Amino acid sequence: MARKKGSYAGKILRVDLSSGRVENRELDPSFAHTYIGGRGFASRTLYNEVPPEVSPFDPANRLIFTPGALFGTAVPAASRTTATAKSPITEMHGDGHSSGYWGAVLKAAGYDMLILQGASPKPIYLWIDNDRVEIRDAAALWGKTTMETDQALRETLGDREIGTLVIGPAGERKVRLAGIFSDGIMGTFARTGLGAVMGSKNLKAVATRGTKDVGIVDVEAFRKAYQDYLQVISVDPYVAPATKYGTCRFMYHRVKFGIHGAKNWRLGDFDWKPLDPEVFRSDYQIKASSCPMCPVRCRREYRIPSGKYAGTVTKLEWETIARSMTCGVNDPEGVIYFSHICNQYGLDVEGVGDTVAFAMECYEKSLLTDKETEGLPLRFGDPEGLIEITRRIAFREGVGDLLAEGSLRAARAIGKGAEQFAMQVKGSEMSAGDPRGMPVRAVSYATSTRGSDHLRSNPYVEELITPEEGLQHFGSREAADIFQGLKGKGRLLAWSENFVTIGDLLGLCKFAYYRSATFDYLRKKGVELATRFYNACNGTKLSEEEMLQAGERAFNIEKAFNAREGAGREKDLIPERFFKEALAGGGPSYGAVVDRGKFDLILDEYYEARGWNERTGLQKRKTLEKLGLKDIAEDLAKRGRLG
Amino acid sequence: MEVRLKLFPPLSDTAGSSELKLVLQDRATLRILVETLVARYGSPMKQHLFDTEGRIIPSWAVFLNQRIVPLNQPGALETVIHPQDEVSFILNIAGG
Amino acid sequence: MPKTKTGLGDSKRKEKRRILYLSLPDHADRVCSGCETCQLMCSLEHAGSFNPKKARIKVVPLSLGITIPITCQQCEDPACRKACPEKAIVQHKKLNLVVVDEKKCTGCMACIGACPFGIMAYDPEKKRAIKCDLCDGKPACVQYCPSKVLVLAGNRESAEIRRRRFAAVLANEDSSARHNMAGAEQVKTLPRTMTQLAAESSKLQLEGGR
Repeated sequence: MARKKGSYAGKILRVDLSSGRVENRELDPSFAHTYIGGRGFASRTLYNEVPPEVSPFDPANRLIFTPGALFGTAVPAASRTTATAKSPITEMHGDGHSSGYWGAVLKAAGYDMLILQGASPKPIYLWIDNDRVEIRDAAALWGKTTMETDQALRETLGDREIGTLVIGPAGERKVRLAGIFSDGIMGTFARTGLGAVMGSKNLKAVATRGTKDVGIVDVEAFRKAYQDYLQVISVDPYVAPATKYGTCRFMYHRVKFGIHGAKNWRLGDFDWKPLDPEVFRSDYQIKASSCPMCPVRCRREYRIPSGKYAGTVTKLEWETIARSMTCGVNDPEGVIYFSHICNQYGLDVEGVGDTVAFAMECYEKSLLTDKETEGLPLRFGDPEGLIEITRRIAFREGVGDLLAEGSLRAARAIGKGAEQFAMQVKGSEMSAGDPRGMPVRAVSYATSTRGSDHLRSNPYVEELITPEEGLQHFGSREAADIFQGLKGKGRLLAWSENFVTIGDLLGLCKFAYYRSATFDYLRKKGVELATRFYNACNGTKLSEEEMLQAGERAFNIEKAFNAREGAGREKDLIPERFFKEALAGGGPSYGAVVDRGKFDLILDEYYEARGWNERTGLQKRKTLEKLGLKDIAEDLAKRGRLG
Repeated sequence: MEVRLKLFPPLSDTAGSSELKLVLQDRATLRILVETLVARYGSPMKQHLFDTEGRIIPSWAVFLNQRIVPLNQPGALETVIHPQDEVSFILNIAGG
Repeated sequence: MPKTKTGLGDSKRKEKRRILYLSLPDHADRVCSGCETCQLMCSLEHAGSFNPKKARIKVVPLSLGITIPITCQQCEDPACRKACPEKAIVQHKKLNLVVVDEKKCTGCMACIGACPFGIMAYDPEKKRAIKCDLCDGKPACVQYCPSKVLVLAGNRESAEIRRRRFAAVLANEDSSARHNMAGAEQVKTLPRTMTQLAAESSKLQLEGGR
């Protein structure tokens, strides 16, 4: 086959798991340059193909995989892939993003997008071998953990260099907190319950081999951008601690602001010292690892050398530590083991951590008793309880069957006011740090299109801009005032969402491009270099404004999907606890709440900046038309969901 | 006056220690404290704290006796330090 | 050859042997990170595109968290050349470099079966054997490795690397020595398999490579 020009593989693969029908179509170049890739391709396709009548476990739900546009090239840290479906946890747009090799292998097999529809009557896996696509029986794989499945596939298919996507026992049982795992436990599409969608299709795995080139048009421009990128990360103070500690480093950020979210989001301070990044670094880490093509080296694998969990080797990142503290647990080996079982059983560690914390608070308040837990005490701070209940969630055993539905559904089933303890936004469990004291952070969790998510935007921008930058870019010096500022915050949030979405179109890692110590370095990496890399690889001349607009476009498509599902301003909200209960337990943000008035004012400014109706939170026609989404405007208008 | 300084990485790596005692003039400000650090530890320290235009990198935050003073807030560097104050420079890595 | 006390006199003699080497990490953060940038920059250099199958350097994931790049050792008595039925693999007259003549290669893969390091590669598009050619003296993998673990080593440099690697093996195996190795972070964090592999490949070189 002739060498491909550009970083696109050139084809879209669709497989109907009910009929077995396989179809591949050419990738339309104008589709490619409008939606770019990753989240852009997938969100557009989901909007086109999954109307409100289709529920998440309905065979007609789509499960769509899209490597970022630059994945498969040697662009630094361009190794992210997106998975998209209607989510069983939010009942709206759902997506997850993962590291791993599989996405590059899909491109090498010749495809930029894999669309799965229908459902198989019995367990199957998909085998994509360049141009050959087969549906195969997965009876021998069903029941295996993620690592076991990955290994079994490599042996059965006789090729250690394939890419794999698998679900574990949790996905098989449609646990709404199940994720999809790439290449063993190399990466996880964790959030929004996509593992359950895959399980509902009886699809155990997708194995892929590809031998084709991923092309590049302007090698010199690529090399120059590469050198410039290395130069920026050599001076950006954000990077050295990333290399040194991995994502454990975020502990220092939570300590700085006193926003741990400990004990089901009640305490701002907590005995965090046993989980100090230095402890993980000196006692447990194997080495500073990299995701494909990344010079930052901030991923980590850990080994427990002795004690109760001796011999455990697993991957672990920050949110595991954070959500362990949400369960009151601060024993590093318990935390590593918790990550291990989530990884092996195929669970979203964040959703599980928050759901278990919810269960612990219910137990504390006797809304759940030993009768329901079959004698298992669910106490804050107890790593063994956390580990055992996680196992029961994965296998839907006993009260695990209830908790496998996620904290919101479990709360509704329990009743008696349990809902106030389910810490979720749009049904999806809380992520990152506590928002009390920092109104933009609070609003950012509310406006994310996939439920609570700090990765949908960069709420940390307010921590690193100067008042002058606030004035220049967001219309007010107040934008830089973390605690008291109001004006400019909404515009800051809208901009940062569009900005970060660029990364999800191109497949660029947030830590390598969308986090920084200064606003200059941030934009240099995430807008300028991102655009230069895209143009170098594809011979295009996209401007930075056009790239930001592509981010805005994808975000608006997801918003439209949610609007069509019935969500408006009333769903752009965070748990009551953050408004009503002052942050307890000491620490720098002690006593803070999210001021509802400020929250609403920032949200007003955000909707205005987005070109959405302030009262309803719904999109205005001219905003959608400006983004080339006229057909979506028509569709929403027909349904009365236009702003 | 004597001021107790706690440093987190990467400043503690450059300083070789995470706890220091500094002697500063009375009524010294945070600005003077930062300048003292740079004078003592040279350009590696300067590179952590200042950008290429010579402005202090705003995402640093200082704890002054457990109260947080983000350095991107107006007037932050003019905050006066008192004897026996504990000052911590905490890592400006946001994320997660 | 003039004999000198320190051996420095022969620095004027042009060193014939230059190979790519995995350097022994001098601290725990300078090990191979598993990023595989070397593979894609190698393929870019030789094929003008990104394809790990066209890379002449391969990163081997041994287990979770342990990745080792394997490079052609430019053997002095190459097994690949001996295995080739078409005499398509030749040794450069002046440089210590083994090259494939693509015009003569028929893609039979005998060399791929023969290389003791498993580093002979196969271009899936051209259907020919391909191998490391040290990129005209400036290897792309060395240039782009973010962790700086790849070295283009001359005779003495490669000997020093092998010596230190073997020393690490001995230190790791001698349990009393391990207690005294508190300061030698690279041995503590190098898992057993990594040093074992280093020992295996040193053994292979003694047997098959010379």
